[in-house]
Amino acid sequence: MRIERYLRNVTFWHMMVGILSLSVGVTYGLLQVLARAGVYKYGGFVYDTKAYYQGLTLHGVLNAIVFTTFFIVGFLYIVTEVSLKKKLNRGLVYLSFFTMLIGTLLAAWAILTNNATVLYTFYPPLKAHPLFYIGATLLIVGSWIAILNTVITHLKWRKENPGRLTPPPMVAVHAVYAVWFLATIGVAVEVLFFLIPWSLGLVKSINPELARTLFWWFGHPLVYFWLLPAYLAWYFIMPRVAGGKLYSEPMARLVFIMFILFSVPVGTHHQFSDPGISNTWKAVQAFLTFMVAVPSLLTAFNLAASLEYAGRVRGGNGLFGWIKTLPWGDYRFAGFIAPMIAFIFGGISGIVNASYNVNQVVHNTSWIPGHFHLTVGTASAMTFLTLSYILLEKLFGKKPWSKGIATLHSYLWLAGVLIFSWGMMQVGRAGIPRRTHLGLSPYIGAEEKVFMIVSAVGGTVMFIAFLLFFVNFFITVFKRPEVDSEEVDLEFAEAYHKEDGNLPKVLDNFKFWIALAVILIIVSYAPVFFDVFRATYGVPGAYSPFSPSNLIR
Amino acid sequence: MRRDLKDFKPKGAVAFFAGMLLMYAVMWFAIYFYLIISRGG
Repeated sequence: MRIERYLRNVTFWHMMVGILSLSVGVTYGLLQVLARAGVYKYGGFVYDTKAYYQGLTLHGVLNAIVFTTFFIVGFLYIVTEVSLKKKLNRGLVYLSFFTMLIGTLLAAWAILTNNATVLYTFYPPLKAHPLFYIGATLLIVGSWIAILNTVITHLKWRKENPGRLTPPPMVAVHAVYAVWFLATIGVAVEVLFFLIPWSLGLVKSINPELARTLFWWFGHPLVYFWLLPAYLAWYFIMPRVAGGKLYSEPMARLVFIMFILFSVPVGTHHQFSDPGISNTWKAVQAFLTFMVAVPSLLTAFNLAASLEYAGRVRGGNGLFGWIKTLPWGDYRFAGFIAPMIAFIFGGISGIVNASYNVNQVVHNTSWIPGHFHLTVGTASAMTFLTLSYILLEKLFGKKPWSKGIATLHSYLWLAGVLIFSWGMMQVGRAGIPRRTHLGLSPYIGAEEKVFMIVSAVGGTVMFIAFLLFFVNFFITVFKRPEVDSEEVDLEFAEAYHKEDGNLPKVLDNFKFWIALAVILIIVSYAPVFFDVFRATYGVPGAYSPFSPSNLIR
Repeated sequence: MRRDLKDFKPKGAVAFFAGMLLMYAVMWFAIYFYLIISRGG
């Protein structure tokens, strides 16, 4: 497939905005973990952050929102054109990119000037400058334009290819965007109808519980927006890198459809300790959260079978002999298998979070960042870094400057995150809160202090791994092309069990599954909002993390 | 290296999956017992 020069360049700039944001975010991540361990005190280093919470806001927003959104939109453009062999609308590509970029710059200004130290969840009554909320809105609107572009392109493809099944990688693209669109409706309502009028001073009061509920409508499925592009790479690129095939294509399709259905109506499990929402509906959403674990468990099996196939093709024997014959020294394989290993532990720690009973042990503790650094912080982030090498090669003909460093930093990151998360989870299990400047706290016990230092060691290893990536990536960017990149082939894997004509047509009907997902969202969220409206109300007030005084006098 | 496998049965993947579920159960119950011990009195 020939990809036009403009799309190669725009995709490159999506990657660049993402990776540069990540590099700032990762630096603040190192400072966070060192500050929590009491090793580093804020002020006078890098950018003079006013406080721990400003750095934490930068870390969360840049890594979890800006890096992911830019990278995913750019990557999915290429997957769309390659799998459909059809051109996207050029004007919409540019419009989407610049809308997202302007939004990011506005929000970044607000955070860097300490006018939006509200963390990435921006819970009211923490109040930010209106430009932070407007910037975040533009970032999301820009991504909606990318969705529109993709849907238009797919509809044209359908018209030209009647009766043909949507190619499986494109099913994944639809799942990513369906989840993202349904999820962002919640945060759009929160920001447009409540936070922007409140931050502009048009209304005096805000209902924090209502805002939290709308945020988590968005905040949990956001996890799948991060994760599903990684799944796309693991399902359709990784098996071929390993030298084998995807074990089951129909199971992969089913998995992505299940994510469309179950990703959104689960956010209340983040509010298990919130007042005002009935236990019944918290339990219903806990059950639905377990449902969304099912496609991930199916993925674990399907990918393990794909790896086993590859390992046996490479000469592996016995029940587990195939594992050692896998290409552990290939930088692309290392960059996919390391995040997959991290995700095994991310999965179980997520199931603990989702459980209404045991969640009480870990709720709002350091366990939670320990968990999501295994998922978004490794499973997604490291897969995206590996994909950035692959995109540089496929779009610009540039292979990594050092394949050895590319392999090394994947395993180093894995070692770092396992140490970091182990420390964070041990501290969290003991009830130590997250999002707290623990380095200044006098009440931390000796055992917890040790594990906070363990986390600092792990975080430092992760930072070193990222530095290795950063250097290797940018040297690669400035290299001369060495392979032909006229025809772009993402080298999607063949399947051992292929989709055939017997596949029920409903599994290719995205409108049906999205409509079903909307019904499920309404059924599961209507009683939650009923409870919130009945039991909570707006309050006058706005706070900054720097002062316990009400900002409204 | 072989080119293709006929009648591939993912026995290793099934064993891996069973082992993973077992590990998940152990880790979940570890937290569950921590809940009982720390909150139970």
